[in-house]
Amino acid sequence: MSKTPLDFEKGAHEALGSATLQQALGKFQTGYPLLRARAMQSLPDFEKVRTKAARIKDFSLKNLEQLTNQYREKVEANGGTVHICETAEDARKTVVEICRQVEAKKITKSKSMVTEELALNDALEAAGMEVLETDLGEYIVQLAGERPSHIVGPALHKTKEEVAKLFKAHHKTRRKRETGEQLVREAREVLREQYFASEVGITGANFLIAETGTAVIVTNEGNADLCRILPKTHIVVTSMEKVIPTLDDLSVFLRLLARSASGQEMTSYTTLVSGPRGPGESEGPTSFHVVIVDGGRSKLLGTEQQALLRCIKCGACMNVCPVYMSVGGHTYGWVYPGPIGAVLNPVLNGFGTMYHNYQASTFCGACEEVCPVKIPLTKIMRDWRTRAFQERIPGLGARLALWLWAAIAANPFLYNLAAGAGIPILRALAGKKGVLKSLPFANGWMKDRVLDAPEGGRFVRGRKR
Amino acid sequence: MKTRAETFAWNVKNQLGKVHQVASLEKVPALVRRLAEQLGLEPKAVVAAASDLKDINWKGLEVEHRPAGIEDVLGISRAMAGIAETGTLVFASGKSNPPSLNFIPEYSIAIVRESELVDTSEEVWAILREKQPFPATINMVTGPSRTGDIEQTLFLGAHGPRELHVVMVKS
Ligand code: SF4
Repeated sequence: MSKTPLDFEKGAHEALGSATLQQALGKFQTGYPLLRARAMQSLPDFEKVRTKAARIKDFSLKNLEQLTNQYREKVEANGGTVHICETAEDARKTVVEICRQVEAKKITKSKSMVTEELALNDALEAAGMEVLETDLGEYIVQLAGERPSHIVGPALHKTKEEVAKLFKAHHKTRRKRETGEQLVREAREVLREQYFASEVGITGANFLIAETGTAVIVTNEGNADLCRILPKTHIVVTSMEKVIPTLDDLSVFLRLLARSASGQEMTSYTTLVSGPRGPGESEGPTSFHVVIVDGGRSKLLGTEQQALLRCIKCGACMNVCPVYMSVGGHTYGWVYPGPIGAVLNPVLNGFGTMYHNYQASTFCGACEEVCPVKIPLTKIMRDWRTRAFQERIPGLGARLALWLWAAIAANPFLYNLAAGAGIPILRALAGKKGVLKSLPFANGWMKDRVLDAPEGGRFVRGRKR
Repeated sequence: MKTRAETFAWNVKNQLGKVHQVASLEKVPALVRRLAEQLGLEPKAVVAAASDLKDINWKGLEVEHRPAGIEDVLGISRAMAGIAETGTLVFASGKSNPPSLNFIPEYSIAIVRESELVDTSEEVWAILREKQPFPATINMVTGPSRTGDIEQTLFLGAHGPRELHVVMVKS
């Protein structure tokens, strides 16, 4: 089911026709969005806190270079190494090289969307190393040979029955696989030994704190912590916009992140790592690396759309998005699904290839309402459409149609004439029943819809100046 | 108005942790024995080597002060602080406090003194800034391990402990 971004329309149709996917997506009616709404009740000044969070991010982005240097100096003083990588290719090479140096055979990894962006697992496997995802959702997706469909719950597109089938095929043991509980237990048992047997643990990071040289890793399962504590080498792979100035700033984001992501006041585990194990400690990695990836993000710095880099990857925007909830995450065709993907993917992976991503919107604005850092997602989506038009990304036909529409809409006389003609034409097409089942030039759109023929006249008819 | 200790306890429970209150550290071993019995576990545990936990008499329990291994089922750790706002325990790694105690055993008991409770995480940062060097690993633990990865349904004990017992010590 690996889809490419240009297959968006085909993928969307397949997704809408898949009963199991629709069943899994249906859980969004009762799952995360409801929990989120409940958790927000314990944060009555949500509006104030998110304004503050947005401000901290804007400040950090403005002073990114200086803060990153400060972060790096602190980590180095703590005995760790920071690698700043401009491209995905640089980052892949850096991680593979660190793993080679410590002769890693087995690597345990906790969820990190940035490593998805880098296709890091492929690179490590090509270098002859075994990589094991340990977050339950990521593990399921890895067994299925798929990619995550959601940035917080990578396997939310799968039903329990599908997971049971996967476990049966891969674990080759006989056991009961009827309840979610049994499946969680099975994964726990299978993965447990792997942490002890791995030479390297790779995790992501949700925040980097300049003040203390600290990477903050937020999880619910505790898998990232086992990846941190047990292997001899810990590599944090993350992206450049994660840097914030101080620990106090972190407190602001912690009040927002878990509530927005999973509807908890706080995730079970929030872990602050600042270097290799300290003097006298008997546990924790002896070598510690942080790989910070640009990957195209710096193109946004100083632009009108810089606010995109405020994103804390909470996933709230996709949980309420009618498009996401209909077509699922895979249809977007690249790493980040939902509203944030629709605007970020083009920056990181090209406006041409990701063209359909920023078309996939109803402009209902539900995403902006929940976004904990107030990213103007629909505005940026419009900006990208304008940009695509200017860069002639849509085909000639589409551009001509848009141009014609703009010409008519900008001229009241023409507009009235066209709109006035529309009503009798639609009525004629609808026939006696007064219902339209198809429309010229819009058969695709009408495929799953019926339209009542317009009744009466236009509101603006005959209005005199 | 709830007291800080009450708010903390309420939030721990809200995050699916269990709360026990004892008058002094000396009462902890008896509580642990009782818990082990209720859970059907052998009376043994791996315990943080924090000085106040080393000093007490663990009679009736087989305790070892070391990091947790794959075979350990019950771990006892010592928090440096508890945050009332969220019911969060804070652990700083160090010679006597291996982080594995909080993650490997299936049942986790965490000990915090009521005098170590604070209102918000900001207050914890103020305490930590005084520590030199800054701890390599700081674990903030809020309730037991959980996952929502299967059909957005909550299950406990994903990779870390399935039960978290927080023992609040009065004095
Ligand atoms: S855009 Fe906002 S809501 Fe969406 S993932 Fe990012 S921070 Fe969360």
